[in-house]
Amino acid sequence: MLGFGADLLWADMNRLLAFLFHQGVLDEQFLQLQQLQDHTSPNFVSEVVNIYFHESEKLLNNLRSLLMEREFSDYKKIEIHLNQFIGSSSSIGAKRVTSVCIAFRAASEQDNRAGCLRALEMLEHEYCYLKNKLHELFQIEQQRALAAGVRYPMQHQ
Amino acid sequence: MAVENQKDHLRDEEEDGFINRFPIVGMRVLAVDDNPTCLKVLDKLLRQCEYHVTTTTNAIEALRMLRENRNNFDLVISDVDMPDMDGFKLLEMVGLEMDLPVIMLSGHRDRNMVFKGISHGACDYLLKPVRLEELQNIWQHVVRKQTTASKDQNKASNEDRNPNISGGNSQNVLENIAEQNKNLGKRRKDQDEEEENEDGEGTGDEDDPSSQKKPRVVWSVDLHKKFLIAVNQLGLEKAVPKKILDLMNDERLTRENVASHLQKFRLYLKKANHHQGNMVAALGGGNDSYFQMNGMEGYANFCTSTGSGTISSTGMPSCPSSAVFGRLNSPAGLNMRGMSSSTLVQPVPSQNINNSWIPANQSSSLLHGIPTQLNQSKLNNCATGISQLTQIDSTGFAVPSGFHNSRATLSNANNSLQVSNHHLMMDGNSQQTHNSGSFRNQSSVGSASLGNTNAGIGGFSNLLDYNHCNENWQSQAQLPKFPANSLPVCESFNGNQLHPTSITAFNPRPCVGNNQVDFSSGNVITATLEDARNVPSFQEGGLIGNVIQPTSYAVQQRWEEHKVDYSQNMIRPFNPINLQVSSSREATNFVAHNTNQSKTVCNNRVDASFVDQVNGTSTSVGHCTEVEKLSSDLRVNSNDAYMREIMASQVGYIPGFGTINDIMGTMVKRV
Repeated sequence: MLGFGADLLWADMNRLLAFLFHQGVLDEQFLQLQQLQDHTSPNFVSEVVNIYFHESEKLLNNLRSLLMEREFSDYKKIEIHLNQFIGSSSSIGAKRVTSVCIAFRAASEQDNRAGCLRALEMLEHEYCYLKNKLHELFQIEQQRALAAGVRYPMQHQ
Repeated sequence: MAVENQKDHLRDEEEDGFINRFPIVGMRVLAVDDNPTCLKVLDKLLRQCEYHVTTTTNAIEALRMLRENRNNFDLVISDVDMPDMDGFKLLEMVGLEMDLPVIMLSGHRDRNMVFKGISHGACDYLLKPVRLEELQNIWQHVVRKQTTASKDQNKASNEDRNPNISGGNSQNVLENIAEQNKNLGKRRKDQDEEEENEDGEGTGDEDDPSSQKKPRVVWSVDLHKKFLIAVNQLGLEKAVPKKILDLMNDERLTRENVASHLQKFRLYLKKANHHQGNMVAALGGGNDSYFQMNGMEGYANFCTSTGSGTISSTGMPSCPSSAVFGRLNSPAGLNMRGMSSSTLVQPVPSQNINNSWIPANQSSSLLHGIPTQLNQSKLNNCATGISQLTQIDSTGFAVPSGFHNSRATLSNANNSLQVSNHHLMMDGNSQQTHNSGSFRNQSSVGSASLGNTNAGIGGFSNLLDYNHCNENWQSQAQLPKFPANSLPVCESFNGNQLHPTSITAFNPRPCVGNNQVDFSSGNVITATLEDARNVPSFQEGGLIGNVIQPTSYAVQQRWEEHKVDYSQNMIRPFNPINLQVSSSREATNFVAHNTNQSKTVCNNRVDASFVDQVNGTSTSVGHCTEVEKLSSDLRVNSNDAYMREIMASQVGYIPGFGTINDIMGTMVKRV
C-alpha cells in the first residue's frame, strides 16, 4: 500500500516537474542540481533552495523599500540587488524569475521608475509562484521518501 | 565521487602521466562569492569535479586565507560583484601577490566586463549559472601556469649552456637565446602582466617562475665596464660567462646574469656588424677601445633609464629639447642630438651613412650636449638602452641618442663606430617601438628591466636585434623587423640617424618604410595590449606605446587612459612643428621637449587630420607637405633633416591614416 503510494507520489513529483519545465519556471540547471544530489548530500537540492528563498526574500524586501522611497534615485543599488538575484536565480534554474529580473535590470538602467515598479510586481508574483511550486515539490519528495522508506521493510517481508 | 569531502589531498601524481607535477584530483580551489546560493552550488559542483574546495563569501577573508599560505591553493574562483571588495581588485591582488590563476564569475554577459576581467589577468571568465562541464576544465589553467613556469626554468638553464658552447656570435647561439628570450618574455607577459620587475634583462635571473624572483641584477655602467674589460681580455670569441664572471669578480652576479648579458651584448654587436659591415672587423678584432667606449657610452646612454627627466635634463644641456622633453621627448631630443653629433663627427662616410650628412657645423654645441648626456649616467638600471626606451619617456629614446653620442665621440676612432652608431640609432628606433611594445606588455613603465631585456642589456642587443625583440614580445610589440636595411630612407638622409631616433621618440617609424612596420607592430601590439595590463605604461610617456596604439585597433582603450597626456601633448607639438618647419632646430627641440609631443608627432605623422583636430588647425597637413619638400632639399643641417624626415615619415603613413584618425578623433574627443 505504502509502496504503491510512493510510486504515486513519485509520479506526482515527476508530473509537477514536467509541468514546471514546460511552463519555463524551471530549466536544466535545476536538473543539474538534482543530479548533484547524492548519498553524500542527500538534501542538497532542498538546502540550496532554502538558502535561495531566504536570500531572495531579503532582496525583494530591499527592492521594494528602495522603489517605494519618495525620492528614489539610487538605481545603482537596485542593480546591485538585481545582480544578486539574477545570479542566485540562474544558479538554481529559476528561469522565469531570472527573465523578469533581467527585464527589471534593463528598466533600472534606463532610470525608468515606473518600469521598475512594474517589473518588481511581476518579480514578486513570479517569485511567489516559484516558491509555492517548489514547496509543493519538496513536500511530495518528502512524502515519497517516507513512503519509500516504509516500503523497504515491506519488501523484505 | 569517491574523493569528495576528503581532508587530505588526493594527489595521484602517477595518475596523470604527462602532468607529472600537477594532480587534477584534489586540486585546491578557493571559491569566493558573496551570494550564498551560488556559492553553495559552486561548492557542490567543484566537489563533483573532485577538487578540494574552500569557500567564503568574503573577499577580504579570501585574501587573508591566501596570504596565510599561498601554497594552500591552486586556483581561485571569484565573483566580480562583491560588496566588500571589487572582484577585479581581488583578482589583481591575487595575481600579483600570489601568482595564482584566477577565474572570474559573473552574472553579467557584458563584454566590457569580460574584457576587464581578462585585462586584469583573469585566466577565464565564466558566466552564471556555472555548468559542471565548465568547471571540469578549469584545472587546465593551473597546469598551464605551472608548465610555462617550468618551461622558463628550462629555458633559463638552456640559455646558460648556450653561451658556453659557442664563444663567438654563432647563429645558433643567438637564435637559441632569442628563442629563450621569446619564451621568457612570453611567460613574463602571461604571468606578470603587471609586475614591473618581470621583464628586462637577466633572463637567467628568474629561475623560479612560480613565486620567488631573485632580485634583478642591474647592469650599471660600472658593472658593464667590468664586463667589457673582461670580455676584451678574453677576446670576444673566447668570452664565456664563467670566465667573464671570474674576471669580473663581482659577487652580485651569477653566471646566468653574465650569460644573458653577454648574449645581449653579442646580439648587439652582431647587429652592429650586420649593419655596418666593417663593424665586424672592429668587433672581431676585439677593439678594446671600441668596446669600452661603445659599451660604456652607449651603455651609459642606454642605462640612463633612470628617468625620463634625467636623461633629458642631464644629458643634453645643450639640447633644450631634451630638457623639455620629459620622457619621450628627451630621448627624441637626445637622439636628435646624437644624430647630429654623429653626423657631424663622422668624418668618414660609412656605408649606410650618407656623406652629405656630415655637417661640420653644429657639432660643437651638439657634441657638447652629447657628452654631457653620456656622462649622465643614471646608469643604474639600465637594463638596456631599450629599457630606457621603454621607460617610456626618454629612456627609450635616450638610448639611441646615447649611442649616437657615444659614437660621435668615438667617431674619432673609426668609421665603424660611426656606423654602429648609425645602426644603433636605427635599430634603436625600431627597438624603441619594440620596447614600447614590450614595455607595455610588461606593464612596467619605468623599469629598465622591462622588456628591455629584449632590447638587450644595455640595449645593445635589443637595439640591434629587432627580430629578437619581436619574438620576445610575441604578438605584442612585434615591431616589424627593423633591419638596418629597412631604413633606407633614413640611411639616405644624413639625418637618417636622427631620423630613426627621433622617430623613436615620436614614433618608432623612422622611415617611411618603417612606418609600415610601425603599423604592423602596432597591430601586433594591440593584440598583446588587449591582454596586458601594460597599458598603464603608456602613460608614462611611452611614445612608442602611444604611437603604436593608434595603429592597433585595440588601442582605443589605451588611448583613453592616456588621453589626458595625449591631449596635452597633442595640442602642443603640432603647433610647434607647424611653425617650425622652417627652423628645424626649433621644431626639433620643440618636439623633443614635449613628450607628449612625441606622441603627437607620431600622431601627426600618422594622421595629419588628427593634428588638425588637436590643434584645431589644418596647418599640420600643409606642414607636412612643406616638410616633405624640405626634406628633399635638406640633408645637410641635421636639425632640418631631422625634422624633415620626421615629417616625411609622417606623411608617408598612409595606411594607418584612417584608423588613426578614428582613434585620434576619439581620443581628442575624450580629452
